[in-house]
Amino acid sequence: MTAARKLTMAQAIAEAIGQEMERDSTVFVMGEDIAKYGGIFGATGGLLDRFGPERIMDTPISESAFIGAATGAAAEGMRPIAELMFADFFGVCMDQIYNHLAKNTYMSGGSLKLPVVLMTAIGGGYSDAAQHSQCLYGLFAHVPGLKVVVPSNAYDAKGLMIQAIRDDNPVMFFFHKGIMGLPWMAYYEGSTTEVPQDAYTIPFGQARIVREGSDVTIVSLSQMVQKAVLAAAQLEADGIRAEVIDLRTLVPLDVETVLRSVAKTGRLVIADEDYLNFGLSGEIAASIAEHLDRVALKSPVRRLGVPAVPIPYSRPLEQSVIPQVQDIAGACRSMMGVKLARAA
Amino acid sequence: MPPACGAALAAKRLGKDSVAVAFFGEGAANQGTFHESLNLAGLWKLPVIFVCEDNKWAISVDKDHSTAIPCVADRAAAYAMPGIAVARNDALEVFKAAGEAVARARKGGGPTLIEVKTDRYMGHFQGDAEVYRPKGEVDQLRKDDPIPALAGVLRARGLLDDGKDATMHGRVHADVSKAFDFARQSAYPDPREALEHVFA
Repeated sequence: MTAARKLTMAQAIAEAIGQEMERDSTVFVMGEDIAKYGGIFGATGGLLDRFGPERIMDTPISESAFIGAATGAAAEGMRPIAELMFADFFGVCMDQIYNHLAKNTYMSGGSLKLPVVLMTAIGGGYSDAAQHSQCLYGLFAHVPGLKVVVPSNAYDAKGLMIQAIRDDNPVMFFFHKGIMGLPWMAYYEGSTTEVPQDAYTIPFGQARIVREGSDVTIVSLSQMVQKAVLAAAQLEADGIRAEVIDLRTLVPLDVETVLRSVAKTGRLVIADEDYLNFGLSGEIAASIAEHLDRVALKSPVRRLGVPAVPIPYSRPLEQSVIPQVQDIAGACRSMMGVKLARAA
Repeated sequence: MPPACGAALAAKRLGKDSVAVAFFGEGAANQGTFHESLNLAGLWKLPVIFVCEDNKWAISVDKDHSTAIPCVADRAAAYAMPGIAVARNDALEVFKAAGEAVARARKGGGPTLIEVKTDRYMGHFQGDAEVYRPKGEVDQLRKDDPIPALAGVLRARGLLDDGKDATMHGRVHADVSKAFDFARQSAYPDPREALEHVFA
């Protein structure tokens, strides 16, 4: 394998797409502002010059049309990648996603393969307000028929994107704007990593233990992994050893790695940037509850997520509803002395 | 309609002479996806044919109460493609319009919108009481049924006689009966099959 260099997550995604387009002539990209502009968040930077407008296609502002077209093109033997500029915009095209893309394989009795990658930008933290700041991956993971990938760093993003393009099923690929390494937006340095030049894949359904620890497990994903790592460093100074898990994919979900970790630590904090209610954090907590025969908890499970409010525009208000490093560290500290109620 | 655009795009990219065809009712012509798909197909000159079957009823709402203009085919003008309105229940005109649309698509001429005026004889779903429909409407409409009308044209041209007609009807009845028998005699699926084929 050729030498690694440091890439931003945006560069890593664009490199993955470019390498797959070179390898497979049926791979192409459609989306708004993805050609000349290179994607508003850089996921297709430089690809138009290399592959031309027939394979790097700017679309009209017609998400239903081009995401539905991806489904049709995939059914006819292509491997389309479509970009939904913001996950928040799914409202204008959800029928094409969850009723057509996600269900047609099942409804055809397995005779139809739909190798579509639908990539989209998520997350807040930069005052883009309630309609441009949501994560929403839990909503897509809720619907059967979609694989859901949520990388936290450049290395994973490249391997998971190549895996997504080669998968014969619809894959939703969510990149958080605050870890893409864009020159015009603050981002977490930990997301810019060494990335091998050669193509490689990362299998879906394999969580990564980012940092080992024995006192408390922090389950996270996407940008929240970077926050959890910073929280774990703070906790270490207090003598608390936190284990940080990056789920990497929600569908399929690696429950086993979470169970093994919590069986070791006895404490679980779920750090999520999606809405708290009826979502990922509840799903992980339920998985623990269903396996209390294997896991002995030392304190109740703690969930961090966005409360049931739209993301505010005002910076201090936004910071207060999205879990921050100190919230994760605080949740871990507060668990250490807590005892469970005992059964009668 | 959007997946048909994608199938047409794939045909173009893969160098096939396939043409995608999307069928929909006049009610669906008021969906955003109708307009998005026509724009995309017109813009990218896709080999796709959009066929609007106008039977005037969208469940219980008639076209006069759902559609701002009487002729859906007129909307083609806004999306850089021909819009062909076929007279009610005229199978030969449908054949002609479709043939021209397929030829245009294969020559790189892009999409066509065809609006076919026809009739709906039954309710929209099993158990539809059709309280919204004027009494006797269906009996009137059946007088213009396109199947006997086409048979009449074929007989007049000497292409169909009683013998051929009986053979054709016999074959269709046999095929349908066979399908019914197969369905009735087949076992229901094992409940475990419900979990299969979510993913390829």
